[in-house]
Parts: sequence; structure tokens; C-alpha cells
Amino acid sequence: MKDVALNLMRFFEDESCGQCTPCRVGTEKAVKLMSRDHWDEGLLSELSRTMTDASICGLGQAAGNPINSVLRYFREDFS
Amino acid sequence: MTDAIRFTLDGQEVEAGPDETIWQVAQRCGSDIPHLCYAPAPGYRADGNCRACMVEIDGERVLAASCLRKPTGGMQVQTSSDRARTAQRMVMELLVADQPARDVAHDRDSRLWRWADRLGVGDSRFPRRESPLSDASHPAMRVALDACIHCNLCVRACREVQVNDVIGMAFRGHHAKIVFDQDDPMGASTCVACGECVQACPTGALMEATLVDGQGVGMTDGLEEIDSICPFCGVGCQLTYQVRDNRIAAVQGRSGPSNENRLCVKGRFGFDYINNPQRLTRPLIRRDDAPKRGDLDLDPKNPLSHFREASWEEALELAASGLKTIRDRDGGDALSGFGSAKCSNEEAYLFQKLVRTGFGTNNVDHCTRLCHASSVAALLEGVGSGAVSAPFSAVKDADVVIVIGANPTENHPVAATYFKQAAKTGTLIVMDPRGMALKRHATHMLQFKPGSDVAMLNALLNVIVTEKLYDPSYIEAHTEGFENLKTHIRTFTPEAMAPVCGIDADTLRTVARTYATARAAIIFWGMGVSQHIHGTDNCRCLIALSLITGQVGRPGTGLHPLRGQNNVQGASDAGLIPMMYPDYQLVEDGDIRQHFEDVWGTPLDPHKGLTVVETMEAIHAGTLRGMYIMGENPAMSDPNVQHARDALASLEHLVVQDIFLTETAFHADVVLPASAWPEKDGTVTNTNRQVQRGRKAVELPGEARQDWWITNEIARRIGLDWNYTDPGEIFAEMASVMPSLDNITWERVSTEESVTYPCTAPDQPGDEIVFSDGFPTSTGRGKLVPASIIPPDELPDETFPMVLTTGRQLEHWHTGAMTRRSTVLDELEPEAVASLSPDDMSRMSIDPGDMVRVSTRRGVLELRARADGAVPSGMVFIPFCYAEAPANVLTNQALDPFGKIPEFKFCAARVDAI
Repeated sequence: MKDVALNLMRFFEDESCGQCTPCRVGTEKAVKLMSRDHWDEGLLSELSRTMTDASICGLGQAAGNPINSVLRYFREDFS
Repeated sequence: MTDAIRFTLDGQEVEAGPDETIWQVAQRCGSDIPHLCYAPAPGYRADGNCRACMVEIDGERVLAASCLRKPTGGMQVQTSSDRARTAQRMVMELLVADQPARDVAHDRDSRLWRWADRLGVGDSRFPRRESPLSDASHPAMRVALDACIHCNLCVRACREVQVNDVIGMAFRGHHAKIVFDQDDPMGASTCVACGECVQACPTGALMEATLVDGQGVGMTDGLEEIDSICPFCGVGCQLTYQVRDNRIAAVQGRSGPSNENRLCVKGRFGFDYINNPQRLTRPLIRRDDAPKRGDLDLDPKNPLSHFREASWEEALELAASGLKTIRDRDGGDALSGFGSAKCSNEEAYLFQKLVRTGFGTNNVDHCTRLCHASSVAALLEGVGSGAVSAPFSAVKDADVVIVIGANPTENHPVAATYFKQAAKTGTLIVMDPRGMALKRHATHMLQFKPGSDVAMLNALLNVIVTEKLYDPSYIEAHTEGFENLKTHIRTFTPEAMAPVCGIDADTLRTVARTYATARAAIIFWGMGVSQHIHGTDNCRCLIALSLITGQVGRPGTGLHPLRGQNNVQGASDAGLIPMMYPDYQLVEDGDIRQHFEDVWGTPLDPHKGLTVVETMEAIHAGTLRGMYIMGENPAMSDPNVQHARDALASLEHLVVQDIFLTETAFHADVVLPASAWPEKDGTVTNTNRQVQRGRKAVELPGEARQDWWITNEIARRIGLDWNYTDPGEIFAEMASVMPSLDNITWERVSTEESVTYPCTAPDQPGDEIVFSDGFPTSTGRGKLVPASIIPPDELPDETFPMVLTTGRQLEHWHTGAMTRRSTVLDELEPEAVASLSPDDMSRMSIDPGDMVRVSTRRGVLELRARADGAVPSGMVFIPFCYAEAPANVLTNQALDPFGKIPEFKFCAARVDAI
């Protein structure tokens, strides 16, 4: 499911218009972090929260959802 | 506070005005919310894209950008709650991730790094992106997008503040990037190098080339800041020099009333002329074996070919004794002085006082004669005052703006930003034979036939009178001569004038109606109007347009001749005019003369003196034998300049006081090394009548001296008992004889930086808009003076079939003495060009860059052709700043009979391919 989440994040990265920092930079950094074998869960959670809280539009605000979902519902993928 | 909005900010009950944002209220209450893409500066709207200023509002799902969000009643806002701070810090950490390391940052003290410090963000936990390459293609600026945070402040700077529309944001997502034009290198783009983007950039991604090293690492430490005024054009931008090791390292715009932090390429990047190796640093005396010749061409790098160095004592003694000998032998009228509109008010006042009381003549003039003398003549006659009736910033209150015979994007670039902004919401009407850059912003472009100004303007007056669009109650209350004008104007119908001026009758009617029926309309003009033998008539028409429609004396209305030199207003006010004492008081009026004789304690010449061009004629006639020239360069700026050079060379005694060995100094007996603007204290008066304070930022080079000191020393040596010790003392004396400076003191200008005259009380700001209730004429009424069509002095014929017009370029100032010696400016425009229409060029088989020969009855030049779509077919335009191809070799010295201004804007010429 980590690969599914990464695929979704790549979608958001690709769709980001680039206007605001949390979405433009956040999706790009999230893709880089999620491409690693080991996810920095704390950092990704923080990033996700800021993308949701501080992005201008719904795209950036929703872009953290794949991270949140995998971390919450697919803990077994992290064992 | 009416309509106050009460809300809670960080637990405190506060009030907000109807237009205030949360960020602004917080700032006012002493709390600084982080911000990067928001600049609390005039002209910059909030954009809310960086998300560094996020605040938490109770009951809202997400955070809000405080730079955009306006509070509502009862709102609970927290600027530093855990949630808000987390977002603020995370935004900063995301941005810092991609920045160059701080020890090699382009600007270690950038707003980004200062905020990162304040929020405790040092390193970033995020991986870096690949850094884009930097762009060093521009001589003045470095682009290093590795530091770009996409805040788009530079885009707003370029598109909304300066309205140059060069910078844009291209591509999407994290591929988004700042581009110049179509992603061109900055140096190859249409960038006009105003540097507004550099000043706006919060990260150092855009930097002054002088503030980074070869690797792009910032050199911003240890800069001393001194506030002053720009020395180039009449806009009078306030600026701050950043000085290191007695050199101006960079210049920043300051919040003055005429520029609101903006500058242009000259004011921002054009100051290193003061460090040019050609600076004069020791007095020079002409060598006995170096006779004068009108066609002498010296190398200013090597003055010792014709001069020898001398001590100040010897040079001053020789300079003064030569003048004194002629005065005592031939009388004061055998002497003359040219002051300069590049010097301060104090220097101008002192100079005219020296000529009047020391030489004993009114033969004192300066380059105002060559720029707005006809405007001043018409304005004094019509409305009783030669100055503007409203500042150019009045365009914000105007709904119709006319710009005629002026090219402000090149000659008054910062004023042009106000015109371009006004054009976004109002109507901009541009009238000029050349289709200049402002055309793109204009609602109407009237590209009339050169020299047909009066025909076109009379047609507009005809429409206004015929269609009764004038303001009868204003005419009744405040003007005289309307019936006469009405009769005179009858035959100038749009149909009759259309073939003369080349503008169709319908357009003339539309423009006349638009102007006359506007709620508030204002007229700006420049040298295209004034530099004709009918220059005064051109201005009379503009004055009539304004007076019969009542478009004067109210906010957003008025008459504004855009002043050229930085202190042409002040130098004229101070009396550098042959027929007037300070404040335009006539020398031929006995009572006035008596007053000045009392104040100055000496008898004065009762006759008006010679103007600039008349001076050259008097030298040729042998009646004028000696001159003292301070900071003027008539050997480049006079019409038919070879004639002027021959005159200068034939003088028995010529003293030139300047910072370089100018073309005028080639013919000098004594050359006195003087001060550049950043080396002196003084006041200057800009086109808006704002008296502003210039400050010394660097030391004088070598043995160069302050201009006022030199004038004082010459005065003492020709028998005056002068002992001036500083500019403040001179200002005080000047203000005591100039009612226009009432309530304006040296101390006040030094404290307030800028005071507008007239000013009614020491604690009141000056009156920006004058003539709200009548005019300072003898009758209190504005005088309507009809003008008839006078053709230009020299019309094209078979031998000389084209029209030559001259002017300036954005990068170069006047005769180029300063700007040709400025590294950046001369690199941007390095050589003389003749601009031709692409049609004419293809007809004559001339390619852009080819050498062409331009000839008139007075001379011949060879220079490169430039294709310029703004130039109409049949015209050639040459800027007059190039010593190697001086345009004024070609121009006609025929004069306007009232203003005595030569016709620089029109003469017959021919262009041949070489």
C-alpha cells in the first residue's frame, strides 16, 4: 500500500499548480520521502498536517490523505 | 474609528478598519506575523501564496493567510497557537530545504533567512531539489533561481508596480519558475533594468551584480547606508546609497513622495561614473603650446596633452584674474556664466549671484533654455507661474491623462510607472510623432505629423468650443480672452486640420470630447512640445485646453511640464535665468531691482542678459569675451554644436568647473575639478515642486572641491567679500529672497526629507495642487492666448528629404558626461545609433547595424542604423549623448521668439547608406 500511496502522491505532485508552498514544495518533498525504503513517519505526518492546514485549495489540502490513510489503516506495511 | 470591526487577536480585543487585514492589525498592535510573499510597501498587493503568515481562526476548518484575510466582528484569531506556528515553521522548513547553504547564500541577511532565524528553523529535514543554473547574462543583475521561493514578488514588481511586463511565472507545480519574456536569459530579454525585482526579492535569487562575488556568494556585509536623492532626472526619486570603502556598492529606492521606493536603471545602477578613472582630481591650466580650435578633439583620459596640473591657488588666481581683466576692460556684459541644473539649489543661487553682483551682468543662463524655456514663457504669460500645477502622482485621481511630446518610459521612467498604472483604470491619450513605449498602454495614440502640434491642438479647441463642451462658469470666473480665442479657433475645424496633422477628424473629435467631459483630466508634456520655434504656441494651446474646460486646480487635473534635469526646477527658481532674479522676479522691473540691490548691497545691471544660444552669437560677434561654466556642456548640448564649439574656442578666457574633461572643457583656459552629486550636501527641487535633501555619501576624489566652495573662492578673487561656509547658510540667504520658499528651511528639509512649495506654515505640508482659486497673474485670471500655425523653421526638401529629431535614451543622461562613464549604462547602450523606420530602411537597402551617413545643412555624422517601429517613415531619430557622433552637429539653432529655445525636434536631413 506504500506504493499505492506514493502513486497517489505523484498524482498530486503532478497536478499541483505550484501557487502555494505547502502544495508545490510539500508534494515534491513527500514523493521524495515516500520513495525511500524507510518512511520518516513523524516528518510525513507533520508535512501532511501543514499541507491540509495551509494549502490554498482542496488539492493541496487533500494531498496528505494518502499518507494519513496508509499510516492509519495499513500499519502492517510498516513492520 | 467609524465602521470599526471588533475582534480578538491573541486574546486581546482589538479594532480593525474596514480595509485592514489581520496582518495589518497585528502589525499595528505590535505583533509581527511571519511573511515572505507579502511586502507592506506601496503598490504591492498581498498575494497569499507563501503561506508563512498562516493564523488560526476559531471555528474554521483550515488556517487562514493573514496578509489577505480581513477580520469580521467577533472573530477569534490566534497568530502563534501551536497549530499556526507549526504551519509557519513547516512552510519555512520546506523553503529552506532547497536554499543554498547559508554560508554561501546570495544574501545571508535576506528576509527569508531572518524569518527562518526568528522561527528557529536552521536546517531542514527534507531532501533538496536539483538546483537550477544561475543566469549572469545581465550586466547589472544576477539571477540565481536556486534561492527562488516562487513568492512572485518580482512578478508583481515587474508587472504591477513598474508595469514593464517582462517577468512571468511559467510552468506548473514544482516545475514552476520565474521567466523573463519567453524564458530568455535576463540580459537578452526586454528587461529595462529598473531593478525593482531585485529590491523586492526576499531571498537573494535576484541580486545586484555588485553585491555577489563570482560564485554568487553575497557580499552584503558592512554596507553603510546614506539617504539621498537621485541625480538623474526631474522625478527626484529618494534613494539610499549602500556604501563600502568610500564606494557606492548598491542603491535602494526609498519611500519618497515622487517614487514610493521605485527607481530606474540610472538611479539604481548608474553611479560608478563617480569612480571613473577620468574623474578630474587636480586643477588644470591650459598649456601655452596647446592653442584652442573649435574642432579640437581631446582624449578625456589624457588631459595633460593640452593642460598642465596646477595648485588650487594658481588655478583660482588665473581663473579669476582672467574674468576680472575682461570685466574691468570691456564691462560686465563681456562676461557670461552658465550654471547647471545638475547642481544644487544653493550652488545655483550662489552662481547667479556671482554673475550678477561680481561680473555685473545678467548674462547667466543654463540648460533650462534648451528644454522648457518655451513652456515657462507660456505658463508665466498664461497662469503666472512656470511650475507645475499638480504633481504627476495626481494621475491617480484623474480619469483622463494626456501625455504629449514626452517619452516618459525613457526620460522619466518612474513617473511613467504612475502613468502606466493609471492607464489600467483610466483613459490614457498619447500624442507624439514617435510611437513610444507608452503607446501600448494608451487608449488613444495620436501619432501626428512632426511639427503640426498647433494644428492638432487647435482642432481639439475647435471641437470643444463648437460643441460647447467648455466650462462657462469657470471661464467667466477665472479666465480672460475667451471671446478672442473663440473667434480665432473658428477656422481650425477637425476636417481642415486632419490633413495638416495627419490625425483623422473623428479621432480629433473623440479625443476632444473625452478630455473636455472628463471628471478630472490632466496634461503632461515634454521636449516634444517645447523644442520647436513654435514651442510657446504649443504650450499656449495646452493651457487653453485646460483653462476653457476647467481642468485645472482640482485633484486629478492640471498642467505638468515634465522637468528634465534633476534640479531644473530649482535652478530656474534660484535665478539661473538672464531675465529674472530668484523666483522669476524681472530684472527690468525697477522696484524689484532696487530690492535686490538693497539685499545684495551692490548696483545691478538693469538690462536682461543673454540666453544660451544668444551667448554663442555674442561670442562670434566679439562682444562677449569671457565665460565661467559650472557643470554645463554646451559643446554637446547646443544646437548646431560646431558653431557653439567655434564660439567657445574663440573666447579670450574660459573657466570650466566640472567633474570630467567635458567637450566644453576642451576649450577651457582653466579647469576646476568639482564635486559629483553623491559627494555633496544640498537641496534639489523636482518636477513636482518638492524640495528635497541630498546628502554626501562618499569623499571627494583627490583635490576635487565642493562647487559652492569654488564659486565662493572665485567671488573673493574678483572683489566680492564672500565667506560662505556651508550649504545650509546659503539656503537660508536664498530663502530670504524667495517667497516661494516661505516656511521651508534647511533644517525642515533635512528632517522631513521633502517639502512641497508653496507652503503656508512651518507645520503644514506644502500645496501639491495650486490654482484652486484663480491664478497669480496681475488680474488673477488665466490668460487665453490664441496660436496660429507656424511651420518648422527648416522643412524637408529634395536635397534633405527627411525629418531629423533628437532626444534621449533610457540609459543615457543628457550629453552622456556621467552615463557614458557608468559601466552598466554604457554596456547596455554602448554606441551611437540612428533610429529609422523599418520601411525606410528596406527602401534604402539598409540593414539593422549598417553604418549610415546622416547629413543636414550644418553637418554630417556616420553612425549605426537601428530599426525602430516607433519611428514613422520619413523621420530619423538620434540621441544626443554620444560624443563620437554628436547629434547636435546636425540640429538647427533657429529659436522660438518667446522662450528662445532652439528647434531640436525638427530639421531637414538626409540619410544615405554607406
